[in-house]
This record gives sequence, structure tokens and C-alpha cells, in this order.
Amino acid sequence: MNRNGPLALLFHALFVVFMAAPLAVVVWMSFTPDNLLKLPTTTLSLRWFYAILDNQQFINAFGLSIFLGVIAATLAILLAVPAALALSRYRFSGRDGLVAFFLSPLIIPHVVLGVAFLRFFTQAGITGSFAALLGSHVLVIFPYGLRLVLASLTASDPALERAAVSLGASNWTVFRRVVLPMMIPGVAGGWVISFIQSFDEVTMTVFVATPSSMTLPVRMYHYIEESIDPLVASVSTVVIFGTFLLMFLVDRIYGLDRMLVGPTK
Amino acid sequence: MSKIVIESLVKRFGTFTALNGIDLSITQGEFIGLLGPSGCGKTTTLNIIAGFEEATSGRVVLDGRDLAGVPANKREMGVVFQSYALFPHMTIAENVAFGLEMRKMPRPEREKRARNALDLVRLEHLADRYPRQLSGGQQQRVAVARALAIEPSMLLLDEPLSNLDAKLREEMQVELRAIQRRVGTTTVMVTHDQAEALATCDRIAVMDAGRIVQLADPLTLYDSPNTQFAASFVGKSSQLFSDIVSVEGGTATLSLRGSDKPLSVAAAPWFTKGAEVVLALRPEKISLTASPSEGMLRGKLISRVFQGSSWLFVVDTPAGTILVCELHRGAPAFAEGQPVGVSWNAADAALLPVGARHD
Amino acid sequence: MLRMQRFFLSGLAMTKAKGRNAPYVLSLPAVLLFAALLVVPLAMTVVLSFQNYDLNTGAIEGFTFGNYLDALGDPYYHTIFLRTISIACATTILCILIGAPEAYILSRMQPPWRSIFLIVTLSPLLISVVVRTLGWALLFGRNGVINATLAALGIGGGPIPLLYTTHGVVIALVHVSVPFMVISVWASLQRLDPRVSKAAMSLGASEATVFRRIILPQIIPGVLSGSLIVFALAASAFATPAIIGGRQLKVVATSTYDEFLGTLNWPLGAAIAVVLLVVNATIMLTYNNLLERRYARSTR
Repeated sequence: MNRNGPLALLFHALFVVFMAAPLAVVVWMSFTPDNLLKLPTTTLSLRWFYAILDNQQFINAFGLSIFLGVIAATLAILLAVPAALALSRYRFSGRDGLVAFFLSPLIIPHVVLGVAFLRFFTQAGITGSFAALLGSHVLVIFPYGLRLVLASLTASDPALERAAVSLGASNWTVFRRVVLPMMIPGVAGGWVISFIQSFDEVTMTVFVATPSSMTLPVRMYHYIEESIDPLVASVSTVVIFGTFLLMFLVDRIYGLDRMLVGPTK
Repeated sequence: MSKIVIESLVKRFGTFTALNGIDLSITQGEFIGLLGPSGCGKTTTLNIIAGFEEATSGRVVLDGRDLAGVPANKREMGVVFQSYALFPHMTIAENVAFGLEMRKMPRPEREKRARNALDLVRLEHLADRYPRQLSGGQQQRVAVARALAIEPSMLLLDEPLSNLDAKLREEMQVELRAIQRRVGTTTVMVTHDQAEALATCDRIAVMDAGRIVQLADPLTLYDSPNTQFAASFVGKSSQLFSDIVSVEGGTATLSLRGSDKPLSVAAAPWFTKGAEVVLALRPEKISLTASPSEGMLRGKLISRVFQGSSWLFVVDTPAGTILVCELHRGAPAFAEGQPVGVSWNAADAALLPVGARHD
Repeated sequence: MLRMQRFFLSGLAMTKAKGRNAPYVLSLPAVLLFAALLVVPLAMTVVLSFQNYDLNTGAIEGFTFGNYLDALGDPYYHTIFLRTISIACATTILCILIGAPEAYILSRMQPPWRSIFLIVTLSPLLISVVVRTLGWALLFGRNGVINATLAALGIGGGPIPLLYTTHGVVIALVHVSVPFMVISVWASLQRLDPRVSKAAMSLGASEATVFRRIILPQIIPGVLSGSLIVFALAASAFATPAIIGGRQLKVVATSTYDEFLGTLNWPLGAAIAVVLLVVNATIMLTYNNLLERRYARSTR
């Protein structure tokens, strides 16, 4: 592989700065001891982190987002695994159409989905309920989980199942002892990315959430609409570091670059 | 009594006929090779024996029992796949013991049997490693051990050595044969490598386009191929065209193209006056002389190829291009471009019908 | 695709009699989910977009094209659509200019660095867009970090207004979208065979020529599909234009929000949403087909 020249490396450095700048600023800002938004140049203070603990709204929103994310990701994966098995191991009419159908939420603007869900839930009379939130999130994150599980299924050697059969395994045993264990990294990676997508989701949720059922990003959005102060910065910092932790976990189980870019290598 | 009999096996995938009537009878302990180019149906045959695919018609009878309706996981056959298909999330020992686990063998006994199987392939010391930690050759041997651990009624090998490099492949051919002799399991091996088939098999079924072209032991196959296809697929072959001048009783007179010397050969039943006959000759059965008039055919040496232990000469003659192989005993006597005479023993030529691909 | 075929056959080997129904049974739960939570809501939205609106009672029965006429005819919405499209275009162009070279540079890095920077470049995707946009809001602004730094360094004549401007929105959207461009171009770079470049060089081509004649043509599909994704994202973006653009700078997504949760004119909001959906889907699908046909044969 050719090396990159100094010009290329400079461009790259600027790019990295560009990507990191907003996040770095948020984190830095959250340590300010002052009341206003100012980059702390002298002392660092944790006061705005302690302030989170006094803000019941943010704590509730945090809790709801995590709880929602866990349930939604689990449901999404429970639905994605059989669907992925069907799509990867059988040839049937309508298969390609089904794949496109399952991946369609990816190309539908979240604004449109938000509008559609709001209308649907209002007619059904369940606006603001946890079920409504859950349903909308499961639908939106499903393609992410499906993609990852599907990728890990199609990457394995088809002869493995035949080998197990030839050694005397029943269909169920083949699934339990060969297919399932090999699927685990893909399923785990799929779960994590689904969780992250649910946790981060704002555009659609903004339409569907009500004051009593606000997820963290929506709460933050409304807060920012009013004013921007260090509190929302410190909440953001907690989110950023939580995400880093998850990313580390994913890297251990599945491989972070594989999850972000796809199994190309 | 045959171990396994395959009767009139036909397999169609939609409009494509993969197998067009396969008949094969294998005795206990035999090592049979299914040899042919890609698409000839050899792997399909193996898959049907294993139970991975169902035949369109025909039957497979094992130990007198028709295998129709018997699912693949109940056929008691050990299969070795081209990609080895070792379970990546299990250790080598667990891989080899898997079949025994499926038979509900208690742990101590199956661990012992697994170790014996690994011993057979001399990999006992790697029992606790994972497949990804082993080389290709080692993985291949584990795959064999795994198939043999269940003491199967038959061993099915699907191009087991094709992913190994040349040197390793030659070593494994010998070892595979030795293991099979020791264990005595009836074996069917699919391969596209004719040298491999000649080296390891008791009998070889040469296949082409869904049919068995010739079924014979390696020696017979090499010395007496029955068709142009068999002659050219197995070993190197020179094919000389001639016409039948006359047939009288048990003798026929052939006229080689470009030669004024008629040949007298034993007449085969299908000989008719005026028909074309191909003489198939192995390179080592042909000799060259420096004076063209002394040979049965005149030709010109186009190129000579040094192969280490032998020399290969390519000679152009009016009856066809000839390959001649001579042991290397110093610099060859013939130069490129030199006119030469070509000779052979009449008995060494296989007489084949032109263009026929099946019996 | 040979791998897929072998995979199907192995599945078929095991399914025999019950095989016919297995895939349908397995995918049924997901299909039900989608039918209930995707097809029905979208259908309802389309229906809604054709309904009348009464200031007092909200959406009422009746079939009308009025909402679409408003959405497509009213100059107020024209401005919004135009602004949205121009923002999306600007974002896409900048993403190409920044993201494609970055993907190329990444591909030429040595192993440990390559993975590290790939993760650095792409991990912002895992952080909520609200947080990322907040960062930009902190950077922009009269007293934001950028202006404060410029003032401290004594550069320029006064603070640069970036907050509440389309420029600011574009910059923030580029930050949000460029990882997708990098992924897309990276994927097509991965499919390149390095030996093809070496062959070209052995035939006498300079590095620049190799890039221009060999590499560039092969990554264009990646650039194009990345552009599709970025454009669609930028055109339907909500949080970023809302926070950086403010109440004055409306785009399609934010004006839909206004109609739905502000003036409560749901039919009109639904109409705008449907227009956005149709435009999005059309662009993606027709462009996708174009790409497939033109490049499918050469990217095997």
C-alpha cells in the first residue's frame, strides 16, 4: 500500500479535528464552573454533573431511554433472527422484495415516520404510552439489527451444517449447536447497534413523545430549544462516555469497524 | 456381496440433467474414485449417496437396504468436505467427538474414541486447539478423523485435497490411502485430479456429462482407455487418426494419415470398413528415431520440454500431434525443428471410436 | 453470489417436506410488525393528507387536493422546499469533497492506524444527533468558541454569524452526514484489486494517472451511492436545522413539525410529509436503478 504524503496527512488531520471538535467542545464545556457557557480555562468543576442528579426530568428521561432501548433492541433482535434465517437460507419467491421491505425504514425519512406514527397512535388512542414508543422504536431499529444478523449468517460456510447432519445431528440440533453459536457475535453486535439507534433516536420520537413519556434526546432537544446551558452539555458528556463504553464492548465481541462499515474484510 | 449399489441414478434440476443414469457397484473396503471435469455430476452423485440431495429416479442400496427416505443424519456415513467444515467454535477434540455426541455416547468413552481417531491422523497433541489455529493440512486431517470417529459404514470424500498445495497434497494422498487400508472403510472420493485418482483408488469411475464413461482399475484405465475422453482426461495421450481399409476375420488393416505403411491390428467388434479409428498412445510408449524413414510415421519435432526426471517432446505428424516422453539421460538426441521417425508397439495403442463420448 | 447459492442448497438439504413453508413462517412475526406499524400508519397518513382541516375541530371528513395545492403552490412552501434542496445539495457536494478523499487516505494507511482512524471518523454516528448539533451550537454563536478564538487571536473584523444561518446548518449537516460518505466510498475502495493499479504502473502510468484513470472510475459508484444517502439525510433532517437554523430558517422537516404540533393542521402536515417521502423515494430508487445498471457489470 502506498503511503500518504504530507499534504494528505494534513487534510486527514483537519478532517479528524472537524469530526472531533463539536464533541470535544461539549465535553470540555460541561466541566465549566460558571453559570454560563464558557470554556473552562482555569478550573474544572463537576458541578454541572451533580446538577443532573437534581434534575428529575433528565433522570426520568435517562431511565426511560435506557429501558426503552433495552426492550426495543431485544424485541427487534427476536424478530430479526428468524427473519434473517428465512432470508439467508431459503430461496423463495418474493425474497428480494421482502429484504427491501424490511430495510425500507432506512430510506423513509424519520420525519415522515414520526408523522405517520403520531396519526396512527392518535387514532388508536395510545399516544404517549410506552407501547406506542416501543412499537415505533422497534420498527425503526429493526433494519439495523437485521442487517448485522443477516451479514453474519451469510458469511458462514454452508458445508458446516451438512457436516453436522452427516455426523447424525437432527435439524434442531444443527441449529442449536452449529448455527446459533456462530450467530452469536452477529446477534450481539446487532443488539448493540439497535440499542444505540433507539437511544439516539430523536427526529421521529419528537412527534411521538408526550411530556410524560420523553426520551433523553427529545428532552434534550426541547431543553435546547429554550436555552443552552452547561447542564445539557454535561448530560451530553455522560451520553458520549456511555457510548464509548458500549463501543468498547462491541469491539470485544464483534469488532467495531466491522459493525460500522460492514463485513467487507 | 456389494457394500453399496447405485442403480440407474438420474438427477434433474429443472431442465438441466446432472446425472443421466449412473450404475455403480462397490465392494466392502474398496476405495473408489469419481473422476471428471467440473459439472460432470461427480459431486451430485456423492451428495445423493450422503443424503444431502434426493435423486429424481434410481436407487442407492447400502448393505442390501434401500436408502430412499433415509435422512442424511441417519445414514452412518462419514463425510469430508472440500472446505473441511470444522466447527469454528469447538475445539479439535470437540469437533472429532461431535458425531459420537450425536449418538449419545457417554463422555469418557467418546473422549477416548476421539483421541483414538486423532491418533490415527497423528494430531492428538492438538486436541485442545481451535480450528483457526491449525494449518490447512492439519485441518484436513482433523476432518478425516472426525468422519472416521463414528466408525461409519462408508467414507465420502469431496475433493478433500484440492485446497492443499502440491507437495502437501502428494503426502496426503499416500497417508489417506494408508489410513483407509488400516481402517478398511469403503470409500468414495470425488476428484478432478487424475493423478490423485490413479495414486489412491482401487477403481476409478471416469465421469462426463452425467454418465460414467469408464469404470476400471487405474492400470486398465491408463493402458486401455475406452474413449477419446477417457484417454485424454487420464494421463497424457496422443491421438492419431487413421482409416479402416479393410476388415477380414479377426484382423483389420488401418491406414494412418500421412503414412504409407499400413497397420495390422486385431479387429474390434465395432470396426467397419471406411470408418475412422483413433489410436491413443501414452507418451512413454512412443520412441523417436533420427531417421524419419525408419519410423511408422514421419514427423517434425516442434519443441522439447525438460521436466526434471524426463523429457517431453512435441512432434507434429500428419496423423496428429504426438507427445513423447523419455527418461532424462543427459542432453536429448533431438533438436527442435528436426525431422524424426515415430514408432510404437502395436499392442500399446488403444483403438478408440472417433468422437464417441459414451459407451 | 455462488456462496449464496451453496447456502440455499444446504438449507434445502435439511428442509425437505416442511421446507416450503419454513421461510414464510420464520419471517411472519417481522412481517406482521411491519404491516401493523409501517404500512398502516403510512397509509393512514396518505389518507390524512387528502382530508380537510377545520380550525376548530381539526381534521374532518372530505376528500380534497387542497393540502397538496397548498404545499406545492404556496410561495411560503416554495421557499422552504428550495431552501431544503439547496441545503441538501450543498451538504452533498461538501461531503463528496471532504469524505471521498478522506476515505481514500484511510485506505492507504497502515493497519493499526487505519482501523483506529476509521473508528474515530465513524463513531460520531453512534452519538445522538442532538449531542453533535449541540456541539456545533456551542462552536457557532456570537460568543461561541469559534468567534471567541478568532477574537482572542485578533483575526477578522468582528464575530462571524454562523448560528441561525444556512451556512451554519450546512456545516453541521456535513458533520452529521459525512461518515456515510466515508463508509460508502470506503466500501468501494475495498473492492479494488491493488494489483490492477500495479499493472497500470508497470505499463508506464504515473501515480496521478493511475488515480485518475484506474481508481477514480471504480470508486464513482461508491461516491454516487454515498451522495444519495447524504442528500436524503440532509433533505429530511430535523434536529440540526431546528437547533442551528432556529425558528426563522425553516426546512421541510421543521415546517412539518410546525403544522403537526404547532398549528395542528394535520392534513397539511401530512401532505408535506408525503411530498417529502415521494421525492426521497423517487430519487433513491431511480438513481439506484441507474447505478445498478451502469455499474453492476464492472463491480463484480
